[in-house]
Amino acid sequence: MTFTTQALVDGPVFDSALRFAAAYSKQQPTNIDSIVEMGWAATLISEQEGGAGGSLDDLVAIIDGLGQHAIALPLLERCALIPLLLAAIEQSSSGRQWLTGIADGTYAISTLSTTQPDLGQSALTATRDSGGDRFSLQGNLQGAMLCAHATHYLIFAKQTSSDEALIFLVAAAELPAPTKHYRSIDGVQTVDLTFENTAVPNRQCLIQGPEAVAAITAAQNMALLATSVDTVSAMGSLLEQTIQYLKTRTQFEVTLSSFQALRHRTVEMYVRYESARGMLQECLRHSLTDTDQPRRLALLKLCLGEAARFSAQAAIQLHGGMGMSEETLAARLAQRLITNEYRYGDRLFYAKALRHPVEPNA
Amino acid sequence: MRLKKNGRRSTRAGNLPPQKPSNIDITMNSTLKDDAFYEAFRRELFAFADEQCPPEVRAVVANGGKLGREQYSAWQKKVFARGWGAPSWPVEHGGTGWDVKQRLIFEEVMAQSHCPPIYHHGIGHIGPVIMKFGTPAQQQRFLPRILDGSEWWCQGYSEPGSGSDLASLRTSALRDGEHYVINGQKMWTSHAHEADMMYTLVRTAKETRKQDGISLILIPLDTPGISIRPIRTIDGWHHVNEVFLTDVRVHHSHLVGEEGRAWRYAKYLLDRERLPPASVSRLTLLWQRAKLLIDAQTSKDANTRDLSSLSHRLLLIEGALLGAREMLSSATEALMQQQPLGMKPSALKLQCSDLAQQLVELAIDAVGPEVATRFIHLDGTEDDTALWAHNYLYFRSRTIAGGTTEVQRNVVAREIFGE
Repeated sequence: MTFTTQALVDGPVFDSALRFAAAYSKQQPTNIDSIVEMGWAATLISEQEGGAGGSLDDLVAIIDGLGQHAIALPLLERCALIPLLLAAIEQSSSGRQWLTGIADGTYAISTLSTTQPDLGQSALTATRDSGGDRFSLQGNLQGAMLCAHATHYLIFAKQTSSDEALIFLVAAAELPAPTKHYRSIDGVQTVDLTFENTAVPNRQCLIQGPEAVAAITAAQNMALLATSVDTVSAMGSLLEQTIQYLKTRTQFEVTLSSFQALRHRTVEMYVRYESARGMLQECLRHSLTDTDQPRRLALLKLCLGEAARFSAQAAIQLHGGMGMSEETLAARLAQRLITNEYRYGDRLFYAKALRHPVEPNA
Repeated sequence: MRLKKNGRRSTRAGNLPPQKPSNIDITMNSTLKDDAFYEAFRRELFAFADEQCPPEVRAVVANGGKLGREQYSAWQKKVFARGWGAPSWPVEHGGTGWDVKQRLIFEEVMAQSHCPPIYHHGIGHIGPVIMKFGTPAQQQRFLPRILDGSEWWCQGYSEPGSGSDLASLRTSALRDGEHYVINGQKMWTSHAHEADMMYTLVRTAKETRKQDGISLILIPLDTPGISIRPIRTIDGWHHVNEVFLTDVRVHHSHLVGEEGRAWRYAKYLLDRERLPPASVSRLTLLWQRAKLLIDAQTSKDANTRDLSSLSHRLLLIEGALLGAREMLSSATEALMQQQPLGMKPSALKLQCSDLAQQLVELAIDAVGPEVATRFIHLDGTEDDTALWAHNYLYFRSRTIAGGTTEVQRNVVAREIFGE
């Protein structure tokens, strides 16, 4: 019996995500909004608001299924961060209508995927205009991932005068035009966005101050957790792909899997995968609001960064020339792992944060 | 599409109890008993350790020193008297009947309290083999003395030329009436110099397949014809020995299971050898020791040496230990459910032995150059520098003993490749 990846959360949610991922492994449909079509947008939205009333387990199952084929959808941004942020906003103002709108398909709201650990908050400043009826946004978001079907975005900024955190809801059409376009390592279209006195009416600032800080902190933790699920899923799938490749590819008239050096390097991938999976499960065992969870997640991000890079590099090497070709799923998984290492803060950022923690009231 | 409210979390551990429904605000934990029960259990263990384990023994454990039979045995007697002598054994043989979480808590508390680990050769290794494959008479004769710490065991497996390739062993046992007559040599035999009994793999027949014809015999070490010679190892401590067996006569009632079938029993035992429940807890303590050292040295050597890379590596090991704990928990559950362990013990051994070596390597880097020059104190004393040097050198054996890292990789490779 050869190694096969096991779902983090078994069940029909995982199965349907995996089927979708297998069908669109190489090319995803661009003409439809898959996240809405598959019903994933409303996963974490409560039934009262017209959502599916799902749990974090469901979200983990979806990310796990997609991660096995390195599917790059803004699932984390739309299905995890947005419901979490809007639920926080709901308690203080008008989040509910937006949640209901997502659930019934009226709105597709996303955050801008970023490499910044603070969701891009420190890159933008907001200054209240002298009239006091609007804010003016200033700053650069570099390498941000736009969402093809988004109607709106939540944007994070700091107020110039008070350094207070602010969360704005901005229509997609109101975003400044990208100053530059890119492709990320894992094949996603990204852009630089420059905000130059971009005007946003006061009413679009949905939350600010300590409530905004709390919401952003919770979203950061969710971003780390979801990215880690994707990474562990991709590591398992990459190991599976590598084993299958070595078992079928013949060199010197024997299968590659008969070479001890290659077997041992694959075993190292396996041990790193099991260790990474164990670390993730330890985090999944605790609530996002658990006091120690931020440190636990930071440690997870740091360690997964190292483990995933090891796996990606080993898999490329073990695939030989095929490991360099984007045609192979293994190569795409490796690209995904390398990209994940930098999403929402790289491992060296978290290493510094762990070694020099900032006291909450400092 | 309607989403299922709660999926089934895959643990790979088989028949785990039902899990608490979860959502983003709920701790996603499986609970066997309620938290208060485990907390009370933990407090009881701490109190026991505080009252019963002598401070001088705890100091040795805390500093990474070496324990001998005297300390191990005294501790086993106390743990046995409390009814906790064999956390992993079934109740009918004097075990505790604890669930996995209790077992792990026991190991954690004992480690955190710097108590000696449960001595592995008896409780962890040969005890379960006698329970599964031994006769009722053997169970009556041997198990109670393992439990109460009065009889001490060592393992007679490796031989010159038969280490990783254990099945090539040549020590012979020929049947002569009521006895086996044993001739040969065992090597790397830990604690033979202080043991009463040696569970020994011997060849009772030469078969085409070298794994056949091997038997397991329990040999009292005071039997005439046995001599034990210490092997000096690089770490400066006396652990291992050569055991010479010359016309050693052992009654046939000391044969475990069927003659010639012991390879199966040895594998059963090796699975347990590679899954020491205490290892992750003890590694966590080692991590804490290393952290204290690195923090202290970072301040002390701030102007002369850059220790920042050590702190970074320490963080990576901290994360890996969390992962290892989960791996151990899953494997322990499988063990208790009598499920096949497959590659789990080997994967865990690979990981833990590597982490242990990384930690002591960090430590000697932190200590600095004197670690090399102030090793063995000729006046018989030991300080922290010397202990780290001992630990570093001793831990080189972590990737050799109990199946080398290379052999473990072969074992895992066979499983994951299915060939």
